[in-house]
Amino acid sequence: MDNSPFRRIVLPALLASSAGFAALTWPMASDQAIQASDRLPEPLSLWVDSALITHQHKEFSIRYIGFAIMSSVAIGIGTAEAMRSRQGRSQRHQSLLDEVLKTAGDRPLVNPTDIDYAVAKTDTDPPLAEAERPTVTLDWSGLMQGTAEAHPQALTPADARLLSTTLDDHALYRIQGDNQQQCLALAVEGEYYRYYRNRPDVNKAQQLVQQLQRQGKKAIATIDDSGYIVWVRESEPPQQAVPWPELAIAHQG
Amino acid sequence: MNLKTLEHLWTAFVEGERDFTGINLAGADLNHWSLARVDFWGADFSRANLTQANFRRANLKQAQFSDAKLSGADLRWADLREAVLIGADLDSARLEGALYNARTQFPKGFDPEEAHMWSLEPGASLATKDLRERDLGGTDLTEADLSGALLVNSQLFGVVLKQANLLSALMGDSDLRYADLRQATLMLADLRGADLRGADLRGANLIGTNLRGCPLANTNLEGALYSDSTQFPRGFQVPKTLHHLAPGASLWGADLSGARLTGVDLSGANLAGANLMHADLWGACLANADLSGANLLGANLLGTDLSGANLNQTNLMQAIIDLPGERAAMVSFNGQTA
Repeated sequence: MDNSPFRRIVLPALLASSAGFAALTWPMASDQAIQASDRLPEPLSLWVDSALITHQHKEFSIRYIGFAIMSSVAIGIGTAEAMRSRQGRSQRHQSLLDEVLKTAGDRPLVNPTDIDYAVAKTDTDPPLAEAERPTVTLDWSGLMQGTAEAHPQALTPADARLLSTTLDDHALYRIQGDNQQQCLALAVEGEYYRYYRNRPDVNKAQQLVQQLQRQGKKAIATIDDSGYIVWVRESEPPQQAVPWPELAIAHQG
Repeated sequence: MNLKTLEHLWTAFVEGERDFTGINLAGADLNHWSLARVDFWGADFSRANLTQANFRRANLKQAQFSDAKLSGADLRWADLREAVLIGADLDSARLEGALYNARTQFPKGFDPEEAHMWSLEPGASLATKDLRERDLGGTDLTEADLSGALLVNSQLFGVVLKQANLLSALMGDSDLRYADLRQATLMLADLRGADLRGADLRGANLIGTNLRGCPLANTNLEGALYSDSTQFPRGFQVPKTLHHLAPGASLWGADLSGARLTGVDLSGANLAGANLMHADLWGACLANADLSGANLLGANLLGTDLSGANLNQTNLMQAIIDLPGERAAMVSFNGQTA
């Protein structure tokens, strides 16, 4: 009975509709209606007097009764539609939960131990205090392609070092690959790393690097004041590599 | 399909998460789901049921849609660059304004132009297109036409816009760090608050450009063109290596090749020996200017006021000239090579 359409949809709609009708017709049944209409500003009070109530006899205006009926029906339909939509969403979510619980058993959906936030820090960094640790609510690394059930692969110390380097630590180039298109690239230890994507925080940068590594691509990340930049190694030497102009001729006062 | 993944997607989406980079949704049933503006870069939707799903403005770059059901899906203005759509059912799918490039793999017989999709390649025609809040970092858009385009708050880190036409483009608050804007036309463009640190703006046309609030540290502006109507950041000291375009300006030997100088007033300017090869001087005023020894090879001089200009030894080979009779009579043609 708790989940019946009558209780969840029809009954609230009927109640809302009745409440609407009662509210709209209350002035007709109330002795205070005329006093109230007298207190209204000029154009409104005239309309209320003529359309709602004739002073001594309380003869109800047919058009106002019609308006009240139509309004209450509309309120009822609107409430029913809102309740139906809400129930649909709720049922959808519940069915998903049921299916997950069936397959996952007692295993928690998010395992806090899966969250690896320490990869980006260097060996020399002091351990983070509990309060300083980044807030991570979901283990996205478990959702990445091909490794939905696998534990996230840890980055090597070299990769962690690269996550903490800045653009200024490397030489920038403008390279041209096989497709004749140009792009920005970093030169690291004799290899070119093509610009791939900006990431807002270390977790997302780390996850993207891991994802690319699982695809067989060598990727690194650099840090800057806007977040992290992920770069992917060019498998073939570029057709052309021109150093990015370092001439800083513009100065801001 | 991993149900845990779908549950994660649902829970996180409801909590406001919109970044699902690389998520594996292969075989998922997402029909009628509303996933507009969500970041699905590199996600796997292979064999997924995405019928009537809403992916409007979603980032689907490098996403896999092999054999996915996308009939009736809304993919308008979605980013489908390098996406794999082989075998996908795109029947009745809406794709107007969706982005693609040469590495996007479509189903056999599918024509992206017929679907009114937008190509993001060098030389692309994207005039007046709405590209705001997009992640276009690193894209090569050399010589693209982006005049009047909306690029507000876009991620344009390392984008290549060399010789691109950005006339009157709106690029406020965009990340243009390390962008290649060499010889780009930024005439009348609005870049307020855009981050131009490390950008290469050599030879760019900044006439009437609004650069208020733009960080310009390490920005290379050598040979860029500006006018009195250019609005630099407050306190910015304009380097002498920029060219100030104004009546009577000294531009002796300046390299203005390929520059769009439509309607510019350079009356009485010293352009002797300047390189104006293939410059667009449509409607410009060069009255009484000294163009002696200047190279105007292939320049567009339609509607250009050359009255009283000194064209001694000026190279006008292949220049497009339409001189009215009265003004032509006043031009000195002594020794020009045209």
